[in-house]
Amino acid sequence: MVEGEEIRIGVYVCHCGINIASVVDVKKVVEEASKVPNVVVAKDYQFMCSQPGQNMIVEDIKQHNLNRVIVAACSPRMHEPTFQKAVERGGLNPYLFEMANIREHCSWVHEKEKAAATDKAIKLVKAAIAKARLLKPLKVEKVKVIPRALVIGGGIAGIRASLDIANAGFEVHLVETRPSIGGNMARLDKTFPTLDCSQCILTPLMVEVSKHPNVTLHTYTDVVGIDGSVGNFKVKLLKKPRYVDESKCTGCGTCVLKCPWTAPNEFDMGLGKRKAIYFEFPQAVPLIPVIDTGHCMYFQKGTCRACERFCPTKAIDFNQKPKEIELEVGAIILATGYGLYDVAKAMPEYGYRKYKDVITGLELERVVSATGPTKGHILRPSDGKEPKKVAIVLCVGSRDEKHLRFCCRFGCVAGIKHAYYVVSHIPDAEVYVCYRDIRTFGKGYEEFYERVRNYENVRFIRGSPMEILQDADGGIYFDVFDANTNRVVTLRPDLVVLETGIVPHPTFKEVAKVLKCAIGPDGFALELHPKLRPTETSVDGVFLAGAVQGPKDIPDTVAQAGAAASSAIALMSRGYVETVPYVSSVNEDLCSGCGICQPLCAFDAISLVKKEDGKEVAKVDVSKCKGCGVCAAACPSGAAQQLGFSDGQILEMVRTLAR
Amino acid sequence: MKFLLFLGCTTATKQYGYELSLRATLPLLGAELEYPKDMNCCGVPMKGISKFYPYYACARILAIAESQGLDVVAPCNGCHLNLTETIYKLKLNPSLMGAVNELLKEEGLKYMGKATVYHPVEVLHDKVGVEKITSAIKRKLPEIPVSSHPGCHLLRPTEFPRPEVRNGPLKLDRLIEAIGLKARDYPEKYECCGAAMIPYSPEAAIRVVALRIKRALAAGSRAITSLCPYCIDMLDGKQDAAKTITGDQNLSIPALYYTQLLGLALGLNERELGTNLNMSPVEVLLEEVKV
Amino acid sequence: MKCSSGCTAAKVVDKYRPHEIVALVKAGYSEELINSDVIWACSVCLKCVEYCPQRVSPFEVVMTLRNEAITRGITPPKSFVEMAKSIVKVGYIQEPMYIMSKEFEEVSRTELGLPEMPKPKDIEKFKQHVLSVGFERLREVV
Repeated sequence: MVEGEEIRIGVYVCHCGINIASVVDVKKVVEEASKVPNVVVAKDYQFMCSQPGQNMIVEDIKQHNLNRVIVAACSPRMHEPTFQKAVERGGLNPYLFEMANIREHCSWVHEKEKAAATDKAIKLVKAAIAKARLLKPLKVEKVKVIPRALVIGGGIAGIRASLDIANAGFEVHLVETRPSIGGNMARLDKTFPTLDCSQCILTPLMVEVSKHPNVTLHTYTDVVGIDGSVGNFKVKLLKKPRYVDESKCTGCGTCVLKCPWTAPNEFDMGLGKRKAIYFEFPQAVPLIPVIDTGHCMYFQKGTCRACERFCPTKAIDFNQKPKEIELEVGAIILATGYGLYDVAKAMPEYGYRKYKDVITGLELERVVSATGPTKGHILRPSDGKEPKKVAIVLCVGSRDEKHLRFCCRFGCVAGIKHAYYVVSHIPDAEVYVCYRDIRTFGKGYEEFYERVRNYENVRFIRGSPMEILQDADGGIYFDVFDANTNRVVTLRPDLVVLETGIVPHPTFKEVAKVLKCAIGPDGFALELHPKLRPTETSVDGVFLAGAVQGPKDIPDTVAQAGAAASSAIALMSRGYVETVPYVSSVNEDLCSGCGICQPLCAFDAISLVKKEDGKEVAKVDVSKCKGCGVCAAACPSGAAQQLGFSDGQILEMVRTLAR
Repeated sequence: MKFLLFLGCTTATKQYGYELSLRATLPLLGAELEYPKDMNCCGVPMKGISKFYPYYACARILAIAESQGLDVVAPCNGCHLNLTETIYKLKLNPSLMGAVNELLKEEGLKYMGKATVYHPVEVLHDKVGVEKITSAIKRKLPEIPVSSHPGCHLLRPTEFPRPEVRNGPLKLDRLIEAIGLKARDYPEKYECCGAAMIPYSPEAAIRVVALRIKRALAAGSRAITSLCPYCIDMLDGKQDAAKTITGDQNLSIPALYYTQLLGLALGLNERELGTNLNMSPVEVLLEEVKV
Repeated sequence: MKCSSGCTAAKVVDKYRPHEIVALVKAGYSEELINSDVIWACSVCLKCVEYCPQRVSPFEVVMTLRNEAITRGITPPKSFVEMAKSIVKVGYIQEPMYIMSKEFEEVSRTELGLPEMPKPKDIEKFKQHVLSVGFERLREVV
């Protein structure tokens, strides 16, 4: 389009089937639009987004020499890109297009006031025409994508995503805050419903990812800063000191054997003990120990040094310092996983942490595990005896308006699996599963439930206890109303297992803060669209894998990890991203350099720069700008303008609407 | 520190030991108690007859306190809850406040939302303080295991703040330890005494008492203590009935007001504290505490 | 159904089930409850209010049903009637009683040196108000 050229507008009013046409008189809208100056063509059509609808636009641009196009239809969030592409096919700059939302903003909300809705639709179209006259072509920039990905979180989600990306030929940096990768899945003894040994299916993947030529593993490392945007993220990592030289250590374990000091074992959820220098678990990857300075006598009192003395390769390094690592990546995958709801604090009525024989499901996993604190024998924590009566309580904290409103999505089947653990380890034990509803939605879950339900020593009680109490003799007891028998039953189990609700892993909050990615009301990462874009976030180039997005079982986690990986691969293999041109732009002649806009920018996109003549002006880094418009609104001189939404364009729309 | 003492029905009409021990101990610790000239029931047992009545009754009590320029001490858990709830709900609901004041106006009263309500556990723990109690007592009582029974309404509902919380040590337990006794947990310490079930079924209510006493005994407690007249009325007064109904002759344990135990530590005599009015076998404990 | 698991009354009164009361009301069977004595069994321990995962208050439901029963002219358990009568008469659910001391003396406030129990100053006005806020629906009191 040439400056000063006559403005020729085409207006297209969509019926959206009957979504719009049953309320808005589309013919009348067309009639009114065609009377407006500069409108050359005005038409209505049943589905503008269809192929014939789009072709109509392409044809009309050519036939009528149109240089502006307006579609009055649904929300621009739905179909703006569709029509921009059509306009481009017609040979116009795609930003010479404007959309009037006469569905969400009109027909859907004014269903019962047809005449008024039609009036409103006409006004919205006229406002769009007013703006269209002032539209200017905008330029889309292509930015190179660094062909390297960062995966945050080394659980099954992060491992799977890393392997998929690495296998596609891209470089991956996998960051894990703990000394070993593996995550929560490494804690499990078996996985439902097939009862595969969790370690047996996980450890090969742990080894594979650590040995993959395209993968760099950063264990015992935190993400401390992320800057930049899609295609070009600058990441800062902080590698915590293990006090063991990774290049010298062979993982022989002599140091661990010789260390005389112990501490509660985090991997066993605090149930067992570990040494002050320890492997996180026997199959840890990498198999390099770490010194817990809080419990190491050398760090506490300056004596001992047994590990150093006995290490055959002289790998102990008490002077190791935290190490900063800087990386540039094109895509990021968040796979920080989940943590358990703090039942001890939030639900004191259940006595968790107060009574030793009330444990969580994850603790039972450690108890049952051959590498756990009891070497795989189910023994209760209080006296080490084999429990003959076990109660399993589902929905602890989950589906509760006062705690976590959502379903944890694996507690039911985990509880059923835990009942199976008990009866398979202790055949003469009785198990009571207290449930509110049993949700066995996954493949094979209902069949597994049926299998366990058929054990005669596993009983399902339809009801949840209100509280769990402990008698003077240490015995646990609770009352539970059973809806199936209409009786309040008193249970005196030897062991209680709480299937606790889950929350985002504590590390997620920090990462979300540095990334500025949206968090949902449940505290988990918010996906861009719950159905159509479940692995994308509000930040371009940042994808979600696993429980970071919401509670998930292993199959769903692995599936989403694959999806997140393929999103990252698609981005990197295309090699570039197109910037959205709706960004802020500063007119340097008008800018006084007052700097009001700079601290208001939530994305650090504005800086003050000195021009050659010494004048200070605001400068927008378009790669960081998200087009929120805050600077444009705050600018006292009108120097900052948001492209595609300039003051002149918006005010012209307002004037038209007010007429 | 001066409060208007609003006794409520149970304390004023039969739980005289509570009133005696409150009047004997609190002033010694600097908490003066003034007796109201005009008073009425808080309405808690009448919620089922009229949900509105308790608001009127409590606003009336608070209006009287305001007219005397004093905050209220309500020694009964039920009264304390109802008064607190009235303050909370009337603040949220101006039309309810208006309706209540409409009635009070005819009695020459006005509730302005100024008076604060305290429970003795708050006066002792928060206002007087454990340290002051420790230094004020004449002697430490022997380390006898005693179970606290705070009572439902000191803990619930948590919609608005209550004097005690379930998550964490009880103020009442700290007070027990402050005078030398040992606070002994028993599993049902956060439970109900059953008092409000008496009108429906005395037998059912007494079965509740039996459950509590059984557990406290099993926990090795040598006494139960509370600061609620309903709880002590049940736990102290219904032990014989509990024995008869359950046939369990072991359901016997001294049950006293904490203020009675506190009074003993402050060197007061049994008559001043009304321990001769307790129906449970308090003598055994008193004998031991004397030494 | 946490409420029925922990309910004080449910442990000693078999037919009292708070979750069932709420479910019956939701399903339109309030009439049945209003005419039943079961609604008078609640021990007012408020555990149901506290621990309901759905933020329902069975306690409030029960109190509403009790109020409704009174409105319909249904007589509540005798003690409630006696307490209501006493409130109208003296401002309290009962008058000071004589109790037996360990020394087998019959004592009340005077014998113990306690001052007279303060009553509503204008008892007639108080009575009028108590009746107007709902007690007048109780036949036995009027």
